[in-house]
Order: sequence, then structure tokens, then C-alpha cells
Amino acid sequence: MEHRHSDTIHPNIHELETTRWNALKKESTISLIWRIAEDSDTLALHVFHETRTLFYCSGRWVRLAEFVRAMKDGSIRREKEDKFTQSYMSEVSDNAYDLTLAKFRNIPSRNLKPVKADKNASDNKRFTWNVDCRKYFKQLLINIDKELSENPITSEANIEEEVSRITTKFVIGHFNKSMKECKRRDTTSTRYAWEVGGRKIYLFRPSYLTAEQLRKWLEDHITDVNPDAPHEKDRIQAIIDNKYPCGANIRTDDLEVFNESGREDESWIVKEFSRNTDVLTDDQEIADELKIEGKPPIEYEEGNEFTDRLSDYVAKEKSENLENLRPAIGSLGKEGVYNLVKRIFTDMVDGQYNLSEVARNFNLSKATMSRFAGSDWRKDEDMKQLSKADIPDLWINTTRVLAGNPTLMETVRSSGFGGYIDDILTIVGPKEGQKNERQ
Amino acid sequence: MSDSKRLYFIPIIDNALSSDNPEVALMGAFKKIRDRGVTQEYKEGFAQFRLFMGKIVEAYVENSPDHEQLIREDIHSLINDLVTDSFEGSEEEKKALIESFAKNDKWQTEYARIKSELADFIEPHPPMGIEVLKDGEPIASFAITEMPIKLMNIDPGQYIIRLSTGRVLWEDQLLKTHLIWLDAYGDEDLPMAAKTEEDDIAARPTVSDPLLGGELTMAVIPGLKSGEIRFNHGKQKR
Repeated sequence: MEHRHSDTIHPNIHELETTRWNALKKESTISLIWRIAEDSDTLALHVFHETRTLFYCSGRWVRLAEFVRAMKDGSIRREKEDKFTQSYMSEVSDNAYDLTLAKFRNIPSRNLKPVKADKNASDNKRFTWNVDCRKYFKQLLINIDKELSENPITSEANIEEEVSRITTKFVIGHFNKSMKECKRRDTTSTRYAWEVGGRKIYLFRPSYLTAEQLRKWLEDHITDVNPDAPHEKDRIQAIIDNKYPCGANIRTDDLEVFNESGREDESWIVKEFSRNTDVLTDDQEIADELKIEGKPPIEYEEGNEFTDRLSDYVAKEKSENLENLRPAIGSLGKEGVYNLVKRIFTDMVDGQYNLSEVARNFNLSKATMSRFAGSDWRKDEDMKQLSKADIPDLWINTTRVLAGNPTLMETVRSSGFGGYIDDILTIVGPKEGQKNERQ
Repeated sequence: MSDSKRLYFIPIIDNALSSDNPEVALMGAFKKIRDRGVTQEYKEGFAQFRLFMGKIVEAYVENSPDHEQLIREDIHSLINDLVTDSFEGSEEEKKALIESFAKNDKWQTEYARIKSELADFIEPHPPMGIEVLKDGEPIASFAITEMPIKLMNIDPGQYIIRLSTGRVLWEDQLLKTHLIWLDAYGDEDLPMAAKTEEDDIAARPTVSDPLLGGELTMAVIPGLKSGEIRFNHGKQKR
């Protein structure tokens, strides 16, 4: 019997578990998934992982962990032509492997604090600790239900076959997502060794902070360091994460998994995906330094309307650079341009934007207004003649502002460029020679 | 078409960014923009949205060479999803994406390269099979479609019959009393070897169990020196 039991378990319980283990081995895969998702059945979870070979790879049926390992090895092999890339890919793939397994193995503790699901897990893998496999199994169950309803099957053997196919597709999808997420984490945070009293504590710093900035902040704000205390590193990292969240917190999971309501005592979504990825700091010194370091151009503060902030930002930028504007617009003066941009954005939010009316109110010609903030970007009303060169000034300016917003860009990147991939493929081509710019 | 409808996507993005959880809200916003974009009412607006997003990505790439690499990796992920059939959008979206890659010479080559590298993970599953293990070691496997099947020379031991996906269908000890005629039925005459399925009854199984709720059946038939396990389709759910 492969199943291991703690020596402290009472023999009767041991026997009961063995009996149940044998019964679960015979249950349908759907039933096992249901028990994991709905009943938090850890024995069913073990049976799923240890006995089910739902995945077909290289001519044989394998278990989930073997399948994910094969995907991991494959992703490293694919980059074999470049040693630097291979080393980078190896780390990313290792992390993606851990994260994917966590998505199908971890049931976090009922404690409020984040904990390791696997006590042997490395501290470097803390991003996997609070992943809750029940949410993923629940989503898998929904996918299975949807597909089986569309193509009803009565044969149990055929149902098992379909479940195997759907599960394979689901796991591959989540490995791909994990790869994406781990690459992203790697680009938004960097390993940092903080030296305290001759000892080094290894932490992650958001990439928008320099090592020097983080060191200074740590020295000023964390004075009660005890490198020998258990979990000291986790405690300090939690303070950093809370103070300086980074884009790594953006998950690539589908909306369904995000929206899946968890139990009341599990607040991992709220904790891990806090509202802002931008820097929010009440430390003026750090804030000032960050401006120099390329702080994201738009800030969002609790309770503030983004539209106000966006329009403020764009209006300010336009009104302070009158010399770059078309003469007719520039002639409105600083305050006039500011008010014009604010008015356009307000009308847009209300769904009441009427170009002619705004032009009239600001004594501008309709042609001038069209070139500045027109809504119809076609040339001669021909949809095929749409070109980026014809986008009016204000909207071009807005795209630049939004391109500097990390939250928006991370989401654009994880959304798969749905509906506008053609444009993206012409902007970015496949890399030739597989060099690694990240080194 | 009104000015607001042509620019309908801007307030949707605005609202998402001002929500409590902009990351999640933005994903919903892009879906909403696409959903509206397929209607006649917002068709022109959606064409402009594509241009707007292209311009955003262009500006993002211009900001840093690293950004270009990030976008490239995202496109690779998308190709991975498409070739491994793990793309979660609709069939129409999938078709449109594949067409987009096919239209772009450079990416078409890249698409083909990734597809060939992922061949191990995208090979179609073989038909569902049955595996028979004796004392933990596999002794036979066959597709359900190959049934009826007879496994000969069955000796005493611990047997497991399972699907190729690991679900156990039957598990027990087979003893001499199940497999050897003399141990099972004593001096009674051993019938002639069964030539047809109907002869199974004449063969007098020592074990006969339905599998998968009767979809399949298994029977243990004792012989002179060793036994047989016979697999057949059941009467139900053919």
C-alpha cells in the first residue's frame, strides 16, 4: 500500500482510512474531483495524485506530477540553443512546475496567516503556499460538466476517457499560465541580500526600487531584526510586500478561478492581489526618489475616481505643453486646454460625448476638434483605411499614459490580446537567434 | 453612430481601473469590449479599440527593449495555448487567432516550430484500455474496443483490473480454488473448452463480476493447470 500514515494515528483510524482508500481507488474520476472540490477531502486528493494516470505523454499514461515534469523539461529543452536563456528558463520552469503542482495539491491551512502547505517547501517558493487546489478542481468540475452536457455520454468508460482529455487540457493550460506568471514575477521582483549584523537575509525587492533604496528603507523602518528568529525572513518580506506591492501579484488565472468564492477564513485572493500594483507610499523620501526612478505616471488612491486622475493627468500634460499643440487648440491657453480635456473625459464617462457641441462651447472649428479629439478615426469613412497615424492627438496621448500604467499593461499582456492580435504581431516579431536580453 | 459609441471602450477601461480590484475588473472590461464589438452598433468602435490597443502596446514597447521581449513571450504563451488545445476562449476566437498567425509569415514559422516541439503533449489519447496486474506487475493490457478478450495461463496471486487512467475496477486474490478445476469443482467433469461466448456458462466461472456498473464483465474460468480471465461487454450501456 502506497499510502502513508502518521504513527500517531490510532490503529482503528488507520484501518478505516485504508478501507476508504481502497474504496476511493474504485470511484470515478469525476467523483474524486467532486470530493476534493466540495468536501476538501484530502484522502481523495491523495488517491487522485497517486493512482490516476489521466495524462498521455510520449506513448504512456502518467500521473499529474510526471506530466507536469515532462512539460517543465520540455520548456527548458526548447531553449537549449542559448545557454543564458536555458539557465533563465530552467529557473522559471522550476517555479512554474512548483506553482502548477500547488494548484492541484495545496489545501492551505485554515489559519489566517499564509502557511506552507508542504512543510518541506523551500522558503523561495512562498508564492505557492496559499494556492488553494479546491478552487482549481472546482473550475475543472465546471469545465467537465459543461463539456459533458454539450456532448452527452452514457458509457462510464467513455466518460472516464473524456474526463482524462478535459483534465489534460486544463492542466496544460494551467502550466502555461504558471510559466507566464513566473516569468512575470521574475521581471517584477529581484533577489536581494540584506546584510544585518554580519548576517545575510535573502529577500525579494520590487524591481521599481533600487537595492540602495530598499536597504535604506529597511534600515529606517525595520529596526527590530533578529536574524536567528524563526520565520524572520518571512516576517520582513511580508512587511515589504505590504508596503511595496509589485506586478508579480497579478495572476494569470481565469476569471472563474478568481471569482470562485472561497471559505470565509481564506482571504488569499484579497491578500495576494491587493488593489494596487503602483507604489503607494507615505514616505516622502522614497516617493521622491521613485519619481526619478520612473514611477508609474498615474497613481490611484483609495476612493479616487480613475477618470478624474486620468483626465487630470492628461489635461495637465496637455495644458503645460501648449507649444506641442495645434495652434488653434494652443490658443485656448493653459486653463482653456485643461478645461477642454476635462470636459471631453467627463462627457465620455457619461456617454454624452458630442464633438460638435464641445467644439461650439470652446469656439473651435469642428475640423480642429476632430483632429484633436475626434471619435471617427476612419479615412473617408472607410473602415479599411484605419491607421494608427490617424488617431487624434488626445487619444494618442492617452495611449502613452496608459502604456506607462503597470496594472493596465500587466492585464493587457495576460488577456491574450483578444481581438487585436494582428496589430501586435506586426509590432513585435519572433526573436531571431534566441538571444536573451534579460541577462 | 454617436461619438460616445465610437469611443465606447475608453469609459469601460476607465471604470475598470477605478474599481477596487482593477486587475480582475480589467479582464472583465476587455471581455465586455469584445462582446459589444461583435454587434453592429459597436463594430466601428471596436475597430478603433484595436487600433487604440495597438498604439498602447507600441508605446509600451518603445518605453523599453525589455518590454518587447515580454510581449514576445506572451505571444509564445498564446501559441502554446493554441497548439496544446488549452486556449480558453471560444472556438471563433481560437479560429481567428490561428488565422492571424497564419497571415503573418514570421509568426507562422514560429507557430509551426512550437507545434512540432510540443508534439509529445498534443498526441491524441489512444482508446481507453484495460490493464491487468498480478502482484503489482502488469501482465496484460488491451483496448476496450478489442473485447471480448481471454487471458490464459492465470496463476494464483493478487490481481488488479483497472482502466488505463488508473481507476481500479476490480481487485482481489485469485486462489487455486478459483483457477484449478480440481480445486474448484473436485471430481466433476471438466467441460470441453468453450468455443463461443454462450459457452461461458458451460465453462462454469468461479468468479463473475460486472465492471463499470455492468458495462463490462469479467469471469474467472478454472482449467486443468491454470485458469483464464474472460472480459466481455456487459448487457447494459453498450
